[in-house]
Amino acid sequence: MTAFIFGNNEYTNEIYENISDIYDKIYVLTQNKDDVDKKNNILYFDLSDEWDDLLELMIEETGVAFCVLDNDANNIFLTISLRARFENLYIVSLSTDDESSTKLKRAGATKVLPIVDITASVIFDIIEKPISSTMLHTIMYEKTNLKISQICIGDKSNIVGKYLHDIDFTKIIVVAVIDHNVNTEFIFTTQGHNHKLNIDDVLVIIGYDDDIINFKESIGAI
Amino acid sequence: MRSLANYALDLAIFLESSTKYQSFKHGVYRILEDPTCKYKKYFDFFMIFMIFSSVLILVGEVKIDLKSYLLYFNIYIISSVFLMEYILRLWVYNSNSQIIIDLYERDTFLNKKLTIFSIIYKIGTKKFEFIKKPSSIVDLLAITPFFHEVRLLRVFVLFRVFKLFRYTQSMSLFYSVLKTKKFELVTLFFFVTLVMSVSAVLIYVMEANNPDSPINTMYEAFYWSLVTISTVGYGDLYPVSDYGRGVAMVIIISGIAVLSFSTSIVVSAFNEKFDEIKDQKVLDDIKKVKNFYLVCGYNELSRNLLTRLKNNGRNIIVLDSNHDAVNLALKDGFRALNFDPTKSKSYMELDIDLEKNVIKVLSMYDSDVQNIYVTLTLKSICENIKVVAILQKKSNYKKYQLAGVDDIIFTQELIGLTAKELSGKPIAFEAINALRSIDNEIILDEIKIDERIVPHIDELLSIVKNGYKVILIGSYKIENESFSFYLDDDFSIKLGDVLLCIGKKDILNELKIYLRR
Repeated sequence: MTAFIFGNNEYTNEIYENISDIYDKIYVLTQNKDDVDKKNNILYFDLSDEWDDLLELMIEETGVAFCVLDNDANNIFLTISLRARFENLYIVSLSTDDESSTKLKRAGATKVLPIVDITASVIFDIIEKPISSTMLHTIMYEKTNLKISQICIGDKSNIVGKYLHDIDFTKIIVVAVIDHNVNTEFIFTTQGHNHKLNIDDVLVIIGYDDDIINFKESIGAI
Repeated sequence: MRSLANYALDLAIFLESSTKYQSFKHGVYRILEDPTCKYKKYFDFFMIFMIFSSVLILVGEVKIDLKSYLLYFNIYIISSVFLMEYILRLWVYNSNSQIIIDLYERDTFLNKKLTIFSIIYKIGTKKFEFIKKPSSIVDLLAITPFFHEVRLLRVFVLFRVFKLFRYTQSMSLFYSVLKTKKFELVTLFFFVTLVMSVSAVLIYVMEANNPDSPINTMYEAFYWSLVTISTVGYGDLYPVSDYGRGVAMVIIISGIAVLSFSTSIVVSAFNEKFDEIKDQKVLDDIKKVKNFYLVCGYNELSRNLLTRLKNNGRNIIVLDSNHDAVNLALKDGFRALNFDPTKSKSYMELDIDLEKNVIKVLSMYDSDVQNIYVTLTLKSICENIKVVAILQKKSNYKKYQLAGVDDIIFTQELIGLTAKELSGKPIAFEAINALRSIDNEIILDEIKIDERIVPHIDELLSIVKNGYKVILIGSYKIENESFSFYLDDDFSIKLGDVLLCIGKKDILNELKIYLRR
């Protein structure tokens, strides 16, 4: 899969560093001609509809675009331009305030990352719930074998039609379920233990690497 | 033979070294004089009740024959309370023993002999400072009905009403505001006096010999002048001659000028002092707050974070040198002061024990220079204070460490990590994000295993195992800073551990209370 990062700033560097082992290829698209370095996949783009170069790169629309331009208005325009041209592209856009978040969603961003909200929630966790914060950081950013993972229930899975409380979770903890047939809200297991599992439901689980693989095998999710 | 001065010195040394005496005196001082003392308001309420009772009795007595016990209560009980308060205020005003010791040390240095007269003179001078204060004079006069039952002296009931001002801040505030306009008020006073005197003399000259005129004496002339210049105009006295009416017209116009001038003086004094009054109010409030987050710099990020902290029941104090930012913070319902967080003077004015009262400092400026400056200022005042700061440029990371920032928050790194999680496990990421959200009723919470919970650990495990309301993720062992997963074979819970649980906010709170029953 290919990732495209629009904008060349401190956010670009951090995103690039963190996603480099997830994507096969990463392109950085800059508005500054001086930054262009084709050898390192840093290409030029402008906010006009001249997408010819991009179209060549975006042969597969299954890629991900990160819109991290410094200016909110430009970021919104970029998002809507991408959505107009690439209907199925996964677009992640940064927003600096609530107003921009709403506009980015309307412009077609698949996921909006509100900078202020994310930073505030992390600081809050660090100062008010330091232990939860450390644990979340550990399981989310893979410093140990204990991980948080998601399992999509396919049509061949043997837990389709079963209730959550009927399934044996001896080695893993199910945190939440998302039922795409109903809505995209999370059903946390503290409230949804009576939930009947359907095809395409996604389980969010916590467990050790090996136990997660074993569980996936046991329910026929692999 | 030992002199009286030596006995006084012995007593002074004994009292100065007695912790019981000193703490008792300090306690009395705090109740009487320290607005940050939590018991002071109860004392003030009690005294206000006494004053109202006394005034009601004295006013009622004018026309009604009150029961004798009420008069007894007023003359003896209430007056005794006031007398006792006056004596206590006089006692805590200064330390006599310290005066005696200082005198002794000075006289020993100068090879002089300590005399009882110098002690009495020095103590007397100091106590007289208290006695001559306007509030003390009012206090003293308010006690007078205790000594006199003469009817004329009942006018002293007024002083009991004045005494109320000691227990209300509004009067002292009004006085302090007007004090800033002393020159203008004195000028106005002289102007009014001059106009009144001239008009009184003129009206007397014009009207006194007129048989139809009700103004016949100088006293009546002054009274008429005052009533007219103040624009009250009772109409009981009025000029009848043309010349007298001419004087009246001049004084009426002067009255309008006096009224507008005095109003503008008071209004402008309040306007000029308004910010200072607001800051003083916040400062007074801050002194009563015990544990709080000190936030330096107010912006969008601060606002978002502080809302979360406020919802979590935390106290917050915002400092910012930007006037608009402070106003915004006040509008958002936070305690905020227009103080520069990079200046030591600001913390001196705050007059708080940073190490004891501040949970953490949050340096939220958009500039790394400002955040480093704030950290260095605070660390130079209190080395152990914990600082959390926002980093804008990664190249400044090392500088933050050198400045002593305890938790460095690099927003760009957080976004990078979020992008990673979003790329690999978007739904898992969303679930964790939902648990972090302030709006979500299901939360990830911590339960600290204290001595009260230890006897109920088995019950807690049973609740987790057999129910579905709470998900136990694991426990954090403080001693070796390790995390133990709930489903580990060797999972155990001990005193001091912190459990991580997912559940409905209300249920988790109820569980904590139940376990600590």
